[in-house]
Amino acid sequence: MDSKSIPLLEMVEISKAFYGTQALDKANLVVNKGEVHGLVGENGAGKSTLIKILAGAEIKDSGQIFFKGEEVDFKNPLSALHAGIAVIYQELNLAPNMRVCENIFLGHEPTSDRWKMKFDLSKMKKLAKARLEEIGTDINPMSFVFSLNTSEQQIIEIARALETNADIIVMDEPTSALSSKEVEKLFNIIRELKATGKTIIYISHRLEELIEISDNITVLRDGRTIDTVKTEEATIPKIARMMVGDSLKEEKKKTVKTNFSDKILEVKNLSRSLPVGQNFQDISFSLHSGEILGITGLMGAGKTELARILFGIDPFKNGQIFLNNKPIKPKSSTDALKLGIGLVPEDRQRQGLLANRPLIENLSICSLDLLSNLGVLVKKKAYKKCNNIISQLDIKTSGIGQIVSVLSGGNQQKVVVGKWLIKNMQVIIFDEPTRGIDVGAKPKIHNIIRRLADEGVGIILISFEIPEICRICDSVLVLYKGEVTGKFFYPNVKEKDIFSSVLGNKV
Amino acid sequence: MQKKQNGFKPYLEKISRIPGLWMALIFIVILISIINPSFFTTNNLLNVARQLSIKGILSLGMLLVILSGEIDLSVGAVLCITGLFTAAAQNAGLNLFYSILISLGAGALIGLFMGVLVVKRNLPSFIISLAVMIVLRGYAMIFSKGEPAITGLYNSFMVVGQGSILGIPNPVIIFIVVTIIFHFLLSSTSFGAKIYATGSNKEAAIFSGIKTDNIKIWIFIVMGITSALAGLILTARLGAADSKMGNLYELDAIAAVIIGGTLFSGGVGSVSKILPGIIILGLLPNVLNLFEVSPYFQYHARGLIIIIAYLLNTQKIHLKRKQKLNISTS
Repeated sequence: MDSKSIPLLEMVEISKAFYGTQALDKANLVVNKGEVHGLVGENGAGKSTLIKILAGAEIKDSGQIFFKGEEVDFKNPLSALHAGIAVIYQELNLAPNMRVCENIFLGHEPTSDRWKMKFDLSKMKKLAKARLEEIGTDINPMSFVFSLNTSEQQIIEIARALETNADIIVMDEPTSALSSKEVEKLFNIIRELKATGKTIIYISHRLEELIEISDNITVLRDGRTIDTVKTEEATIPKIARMMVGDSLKEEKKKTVKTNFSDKILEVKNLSRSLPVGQNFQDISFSLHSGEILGITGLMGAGKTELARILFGIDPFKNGQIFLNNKPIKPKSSTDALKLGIGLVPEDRQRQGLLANRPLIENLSICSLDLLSNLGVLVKKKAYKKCNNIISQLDIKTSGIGQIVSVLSGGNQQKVVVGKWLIKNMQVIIFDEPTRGIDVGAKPKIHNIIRRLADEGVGIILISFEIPEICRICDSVLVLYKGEVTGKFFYPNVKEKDIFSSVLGNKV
Repeated sequence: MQKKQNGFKPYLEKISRIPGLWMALIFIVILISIINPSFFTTNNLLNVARQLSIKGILSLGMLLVILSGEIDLSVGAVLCITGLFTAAAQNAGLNLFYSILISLGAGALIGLFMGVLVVKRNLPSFIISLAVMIVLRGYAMIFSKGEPAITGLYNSFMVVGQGSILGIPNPVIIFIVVTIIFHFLLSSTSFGAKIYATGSNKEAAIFSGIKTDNIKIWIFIVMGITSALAGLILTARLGAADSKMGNLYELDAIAAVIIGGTLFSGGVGSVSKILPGIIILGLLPNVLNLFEVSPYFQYHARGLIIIIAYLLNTQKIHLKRKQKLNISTS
């Protein structure tokens, strides 16, 4: 058999679950030698988990990995490294207070004595310089890493990967902190590496870059591999479509209201300009009581940043927010709560749950003032309300004293939603509420949202999944790189149009 | 016949639910009483109780601090400086009420100072409280002007530390009252719920509308007042205040909290769980004394207990993930 026809790397039906989330669900990845293979998917799609399993940093639950035609099972990162798989993580794993050459040889430094104890600094300097020149950079091998900028540090990471004789170099979101010039420089290096027979796996959410640099692109969504396409046959819309989902036939569209009476929330010319995160300008929209407004867009559109401002966690300088026609400026989440605005956050483990506390505490945490009398908790009331929520949302638990970390992902998400149901909220923002939940549980969350809307709550649903948006939203706001590119109202909530706005085409 | 069998099983079940540390304490007490009957006399027990009250009060305050995710190394130093303040105030002729108030106020202010630094400047509480501890110790030496001790306290004041009501020493009464207050605070108030939330997951607490900054500042203030209270009691008991009071007390306070199964990162722990820890550590000098063991061995014993208790607790956490807390909803 011709060795060229066997893929260099085959990851077959890889599954991995963490406490409460199915991160990967029989995902596949096939990479051929000498190619630049793009790996793409929205937040939570499973890209990082897949790569960590490849690199030996995580252990898969099931599935097989074949490298150079043989089955492998990396139990730790060192074995993957020795096999020839190097990963350059987004956060960069360099020792900033050590020199460039020391970093390049970290772990396998050349020694100058018989007992292999003394590092040979001049040899490291010489070899590092040669390696760096090979890549095409003039970085001084004796410089300290903290004095280099991100682009330069990345090059050092590449040099380090080459020094380990890696066959596959994985780059995880390499361009998120680079200028366009530096991106070009990186691409040239990647092309050089390709010419010398190296294989690159390139993870990015920037579709334009993937089209430019990759040979094939694999799309992940919800822990599953959707498809692998040849880049020359792919277009940005085609890839984005795979990322944000095709219409699921199972759920039928519910009847949607068209007459909304009370305007609950109005946002006028809201803008944000901070050094970190996506900025946006001139965002305006309104939300009525009982309305479900969807906010959608690709990663980096500014959706979560908008949610944080509405919830008072981040400040805003320009623009106005009106709640029931009164101007508001929530300066903290406490303010937002008092005003009746709630947020079901994106990252339920980090931002939504008190993992080592019991269910009752998690559910009652947003309504302490309602459940207490002059600061003293009225436990009977708390138990009653919490049991109410548990049966209302059908949370599967062994009791209100259950520590929430052992609940399943879907049930955990119900807890994160449930804590906003004890008090009567005016507006609830849901940020990617069905992420990491298996397909069967998603409709349950949707039903909860629908029911809330029927009770008169104003809902904002943030999701990158367009079919989900179309299925339950009454109106849709589309963001693209911080700008509003489309506003849609029932019955003109059509996937095709929304999708076009998501890609940046203004309506 | 059947009734007797049924009556026995639930009994066993109830016993198995008692947390391990209480069991260890009961076991130790029984063991010691058998070996040395003079331990289980009223006199000796009251003595033990009086000894552990001051450190016990500090431990209760420390529980709040650690539950919220912070630490306070300055408690011994605050105890000392506030004791010196009240002694100096009494010597200066200030009346009893104000000389007590000055101490409590100073403790509160020191706590406020630390809390604000930790929260607003995002500085690690370990470093801040360590620095405050060192500064206060130095200040204590200056304040007492190198004199061995400040005496001349009011009799009405010394009653607090040396008197008793119905046979129970006053320090013990105060300790019991503080225990009840803190237990109530943690288990039945919204403030307590916010403390647990802040310690369990600060970010999630913020996302639930809790002002975690305020919670932490208040906790440091409470810790300061608690340390001052301990300082008042110790000064009253000794009948004098000196610059070496409360030396290393913070270590015992932290030890009792940790032995009691409190997660060092915060969010898990309770008053009822640290009580046996306070008592066991408080028993130690008495026990070693009764067995005529060198008092220097105390440190070894303390260290050993901390390590063993911590290891056992972490084992339990692995098992407890699958269990639930016992909450009756009737």
